[in-house]
Amino acid sequence: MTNEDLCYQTVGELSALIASRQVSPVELTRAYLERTEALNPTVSVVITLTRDHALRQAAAAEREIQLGRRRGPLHGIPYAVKDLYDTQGIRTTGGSTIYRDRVPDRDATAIERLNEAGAVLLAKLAMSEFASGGNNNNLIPHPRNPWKLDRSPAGSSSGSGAATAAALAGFTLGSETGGSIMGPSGANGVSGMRPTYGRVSRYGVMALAWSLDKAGPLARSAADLGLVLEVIAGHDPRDRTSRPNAAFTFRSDPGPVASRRLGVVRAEFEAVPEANRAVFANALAVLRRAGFVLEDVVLPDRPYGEVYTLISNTEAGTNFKPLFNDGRIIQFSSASRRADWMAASMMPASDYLTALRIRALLKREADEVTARYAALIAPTSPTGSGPIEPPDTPPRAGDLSDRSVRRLNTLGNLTGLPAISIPCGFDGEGMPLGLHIAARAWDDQSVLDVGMVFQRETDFHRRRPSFRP
Amino acid sequence: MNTNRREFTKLLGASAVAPLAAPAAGLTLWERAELEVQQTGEVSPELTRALLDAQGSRGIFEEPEHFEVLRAALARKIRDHRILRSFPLPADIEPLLNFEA
Repeated sequence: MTNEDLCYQTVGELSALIASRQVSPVELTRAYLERTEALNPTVSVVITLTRDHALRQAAAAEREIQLGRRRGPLHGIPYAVKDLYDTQGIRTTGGSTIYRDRVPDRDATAIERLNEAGAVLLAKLAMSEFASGGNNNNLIPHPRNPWKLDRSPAGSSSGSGAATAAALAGFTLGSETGGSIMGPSGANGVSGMRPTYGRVSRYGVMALAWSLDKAGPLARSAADLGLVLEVIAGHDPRDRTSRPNAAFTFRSDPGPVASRRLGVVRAEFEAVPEANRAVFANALAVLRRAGFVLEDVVLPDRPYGEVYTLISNTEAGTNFKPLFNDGRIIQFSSASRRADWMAASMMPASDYLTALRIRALLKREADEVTARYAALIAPTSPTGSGPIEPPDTPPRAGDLSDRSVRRLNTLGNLTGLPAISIPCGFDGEGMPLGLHIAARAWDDQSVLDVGMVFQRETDFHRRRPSFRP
Repeated sequence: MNTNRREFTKLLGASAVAPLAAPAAGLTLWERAELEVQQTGEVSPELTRALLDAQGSRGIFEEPEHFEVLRAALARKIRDHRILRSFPLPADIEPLLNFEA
């Protein structure tokens, strides 16, 4: 097996290789480090490479495994994280020059849990500044999409999406407020998961908007997402939003499919440009052939985008107030986003409460519609990823950031639904397209089941990017 | 810029933004801003400054370049807020103050 073949294995496969002593954690870590050092100048996804730390963790894992003390499927598996997860003694920048030299004295809970599972931290990854989405970035050269280097890897978990696609780690962690795991997963042709809000602790994860932020994994298969989620999920009293029932036990067998109903958000499929429709029609046909019963679903006409924008901007404006007060916000890369945050913090509190009332209505409606189906299905984005454009460039029609198109995405983020994006084909320029699968709150297994069935029937998740200019 | 209560009251008086002086009487700053957006499509510089001072220091928005971006953002926000305020909500819906999935 070549180093490239090794690096492109799924977590499940790597875990089996380690368990059977065909590959050691140190060998695997060196393979990923070598690949990262070779490819990072091309894709620009690493903010901090934790080489020495990784080799120490890999050596420790190797010793334990040799002694027969294997901790579980992530023991000895190298991973990388979006650079907003605090890592003790390793700088954590939030993708911002403002925190260029910030070194936390604690690990985020997710990092603690991965340490306990014996996983190996390789790198801190590029991201949109403060997870604010788009191409907001000025800390390192802008990350590039491995499928075509002049294309955006989307945001805000840009580095996590691109690094997973480029096989620079076994898996990565990202975070999502309004689409920041799902978008990069679709744009880079990888599998990514937004767990139910409250499932994964955000303790030690830099906040953007408290009532919307979620932490989750990106990987090269739906099954891998389940393996990682099982480790990072669980109640954490240090995060007030973490729920007592947050623990998750992954079931790798999706079980019988026959008669499980999927709700197809037809309006979002109809918003897909003609050139990409066959890809999504084929994806639905795959699910139908696998035995799912597909029914069209209409999401009510609600001001999803306005509610999301008001809540996220108000919370971000309050969160970043100290940076406005001391003037450091001048270093932030997007003038319009910065102004949105300030403008939102100037509005009457009654408007924020009105948005929270509409959110309560959306929650009621989301609970009703998701209760009827094993999952809801929509395109992650109607189009493949576009060019890398400077911050403050207005979104294209159908763009990843266009909330009028991605209704299921915005509803899911506002109401805390679990979702995954899995690769389902390519557009005419060879850019990946993703399928969005969401389910009722706390039924994270359902979205993984649908994803695993789809990936049993297709090989899009096995395709590798060409790194073409 | 620091503004005490007396100065702020004067500022409000002074910012009885000329073209809107009559209809703006008795309105809050935000309500005046809404009226301006309704009538002109934007928030005047004077009223933007008054709103900015009401929330605290002007900071980087003292600079004309950033100030104009803020003025545009305010107009966008006000348009969004009008959509939300006019959304028909059942009376028994309470705000999700402590969000749980």
